[in-house]
Order: sequence, then C-alpha cells, then structure tokens
Amino acid sequence: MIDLKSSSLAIKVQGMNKSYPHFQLANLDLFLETGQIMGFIGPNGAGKSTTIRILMGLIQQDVGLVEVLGHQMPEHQVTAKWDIGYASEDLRLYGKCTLQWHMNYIRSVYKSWDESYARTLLKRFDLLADHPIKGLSHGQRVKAALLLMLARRPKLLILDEPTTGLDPVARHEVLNELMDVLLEGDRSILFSSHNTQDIEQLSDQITFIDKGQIIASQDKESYLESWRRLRLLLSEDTKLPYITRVVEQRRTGHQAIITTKQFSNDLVEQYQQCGATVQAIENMTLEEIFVSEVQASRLAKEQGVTA
Amino acid sequence: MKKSVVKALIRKDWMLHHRTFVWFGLMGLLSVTVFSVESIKAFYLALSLLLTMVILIGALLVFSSVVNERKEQTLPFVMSLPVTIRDYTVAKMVFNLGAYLTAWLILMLSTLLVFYTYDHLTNGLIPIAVIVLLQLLLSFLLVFGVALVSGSEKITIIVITLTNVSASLFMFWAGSFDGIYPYLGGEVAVWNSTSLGFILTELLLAVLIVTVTFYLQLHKKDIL
Repeated sequence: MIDLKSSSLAIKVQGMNKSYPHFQLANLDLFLETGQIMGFIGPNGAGKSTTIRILMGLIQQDVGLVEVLGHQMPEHQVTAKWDIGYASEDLRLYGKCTLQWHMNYIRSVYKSWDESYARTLLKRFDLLADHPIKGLSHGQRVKAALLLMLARRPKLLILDEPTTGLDPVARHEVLNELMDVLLEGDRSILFSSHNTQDIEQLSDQITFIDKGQIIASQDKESYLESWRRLRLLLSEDTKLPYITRVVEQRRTGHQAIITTKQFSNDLVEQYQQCGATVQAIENMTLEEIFVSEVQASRLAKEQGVTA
Repeated sequence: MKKSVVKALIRKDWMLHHRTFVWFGLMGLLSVTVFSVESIKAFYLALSLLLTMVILIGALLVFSSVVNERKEQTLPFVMSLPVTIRDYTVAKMVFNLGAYLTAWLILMLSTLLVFYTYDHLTNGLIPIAVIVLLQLLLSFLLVFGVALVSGSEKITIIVITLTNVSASLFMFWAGSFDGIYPYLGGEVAVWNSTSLGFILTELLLAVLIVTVTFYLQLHKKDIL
C-alpha cells in the first residue's frame, strides 16, 4: 500500500486531466516510490508520452496535482529537473556535433557531472566521443543520450520508449545499464514502453494505460501472480457461471478457456462444482496480461457507453 | 530564472551557429563595398546584394536556432535541461536579436559610411536607406516571433516569403512619398517629418512585435 503523504514518493500524480480536441488524459493517478522501477505500458496513442511530458513540465496539465521529487510541476520544474534524467524516443542530439561536445556542454550545466563515470559508460557502450552524432547508428545515438543522462547522476530517470528501434544487443546493454544504475542507491525509474518484455525484465511496478486512463497499477510480482488462464473440459449441457473476476471466457465445443485477474483456488472449485474438468492452470506472460487487460477495459467502456 | 542556464543556452546557440552567421556577415560587408564602384549597375547590384544578405542572415538565424531545433527534435534535449519556457524564450531572444542586431548595425553603419564618403553616392539616400533597413529589421522580428510562437516550419516559410516580397515593394512605396522622393538625389540628408515619422513608426512596431512575441510565449502551456 502506497502512503500518499509520504515524502518517499518520486512521482505523485492525483486527479490529473489534460484535454486535446481528439484525446484526453482523464483523472490520472500515478505513484512511484523512491528506489522503484515502474514500467508504464500502453498501446500507441494511449497517453504515455503525454503523461511523461507533463511530468517533465513540457506540457501543462489542465487540472490535477503533479509532483516530481517533491516539487510541483510545472511551477517548480527547474528545481525538479536538476535531479531528473530524461530520455525519449523523440529526443535527438545535435547531429553536427560530437558526443564529446555534448559531454562538455552537459558538464558545463550540471555540477553533478561525473567524468570518470562518463568515461566508464563510453567504454561499456562502445561509443567514440569524437564522432559526430549524425554518423552514429540509432542504437549508438540512444546510448549516447543515456550516457549524457546517467553521467550526471540524476535521482529520477524518466524514460519514454528508450529501447524502441534498438537491436537485441543494444537493448540488452541499455537494460543492463539501467539495472546497474538502480543498484547504486535511491534512484527511481519511470520506464514507458509498449514492449512488455523490457518492462517484465526491469520493473518492480507495472502500470497500464489505455485511451488516456490508467487501467491497472500494481507491483509486478503480485500482478503476475494474480492472473491465470484455466483450460476447462465441459460436457454439452454444462453451463458456466458468471464470475466477476473472470476477464474473458471463450468456449469452443467441449473446451473453454477462462482468463482471470484474481486467481484463487476457490475459482477452480466453482468450475468443478458446475461439472467442468480443469485440465490446466497456466501462468500468463505480461504481454498476454496486457492484451487481456486492455481488451477487458475497452469492453467495459463500450458496455458502459451502451448502457 | 536561473541566469547561468540561460547563459548556457545562449552559448550553445552561438557555438552551433556562429560560423554561418559570421560568413554571411562578411558577405554582407563585401556587398557594401560594391557601392563604392562608380556605376549605376554597381549601385543596384550592391543594393540587391545588401538586401539579400540582411534578409538571409535573419532567415538563417531563425531557421538554424529556432525552426530546426523543433524539426530535428533537439528541442526535447534543450527542454530536459533545468529551464522553463520563459528561460528558453529569453535565451532565444538574446541570441537571435543580439546576433541580428549586431550584423544589422554593422551593415547599416558601413552602408551609411560608404554613402557619406563617396561623392558619386548622394547623402540624400541616407534617410531612405535607414528606413528600408529598419523595415528589414521589422521583417526579421516578425519572422522570429512567428517561428518561436507557432513552432511551424510552413508558417515561418510563408512569413519569410511575404516579408521578402514586401521588402522591395516597401522601398518603392516609401521612396514615392513627397517628403522623401525629391531629396533622394540631394547632397544633404533631409530628416523631415516624413522620414522621421517612418523611423519612429518602425521603431514602435519593433518594440510591439518583441513584446507580443514575449507575451505569447509566456502564456504558452505546452512547448512540445
């Protein structure tokens, strides 16, 4: 349970709204505890980037409280940004300049710049400081941006789809580096992606967003633990009961597949009591859960609209 | 406002764009020297070159430091630094206005010096030269303001095109006034109510454009 009054929250968003003509973030709540990694998952156009830009003070919310590292945004964004490292899919470095030029520039702005750590990252990421950015591959550019961000040792990393477009090796290096960074202390990371594999590997907490609304937010382990897929064998006259915690029920002939978001043994008993044979109880991957969660949320919205 | 970060933003723009700026400034100075050649063809060539260079310096500054920053997606990098929209606006204004005004002043003063020094160029041309160069300054301020506030490459190109077309039309229009035309060939620069009225109006418009640009920027809610 998150203590909303606690000063240990790296990110605190309550009742945030932002409206555009064709899209809106509606009544968003988001809490990230210090030292935690939150995976922020959503399909394209779900509102991940808009949320992250509001957290960075690049966009102003219409209403609602947004606090980052204890500072209200966007009013106190300058104070907050000294301790935030930001990388996003649409953030580019100056193509004509070298990575060394960028390193010198960031060092001139941030007193916290750690030159020896920057040199370590240069080697680890296999980057050459004296090459112009425009000559680097996409993966190298992403790593260069991460180096500039990490070497000033921010308390909070806000990463908007940083691994998009990276090859598996580059992705592995980036994720490993982020894991190492978190081991160093009280750093927090908000990591948005539509790649559930990255999120599953990295995160402590999972937050799903779809169509501008948070549809689930929980710690990863209990989240993965609560979702199950049941395979049932049925006779022709078996009627399956309506159970609210069942997200999806697909029946084909004598077989049924049940997806639940709150699994417990009594659910198995309920199906057995109505004459079904439980053939298998399967764990689900984060991707499968993500798809089910989004579909269930959309269905609930449609039914709500119809009603 | 954190002055050191604003200074860092200005320094960045200078480091990135000073070569182009200095190069075109020198080209502008070169075009001024063509005025010294005693020929009507050389006069019109120098005039065209000077106007082109003054316009080009402004367009290049705005494109390289404002429009391209958005187009090439380096703006998120800049805005991830500990700055607000206000800091960003102040830095852009100081760099662009400072750089343009420096080039503009050097080119204007050297043009006036050439007009004053060489006998084949009458001093009567000095007021219209000041009026036309002030109009180019206004055009630059308008282009800069539109680029900064709209963030749109298309709109900026449209405004640049319109201001370029208006530059020569304005020159003929201003030169046709009774208070200006009769004195163009004279030995003495005549600063009458017409020429001073033009200059005062242009200066007031310049202040207005800068103020409106700053006001609109400060009331922006979103920068990306």
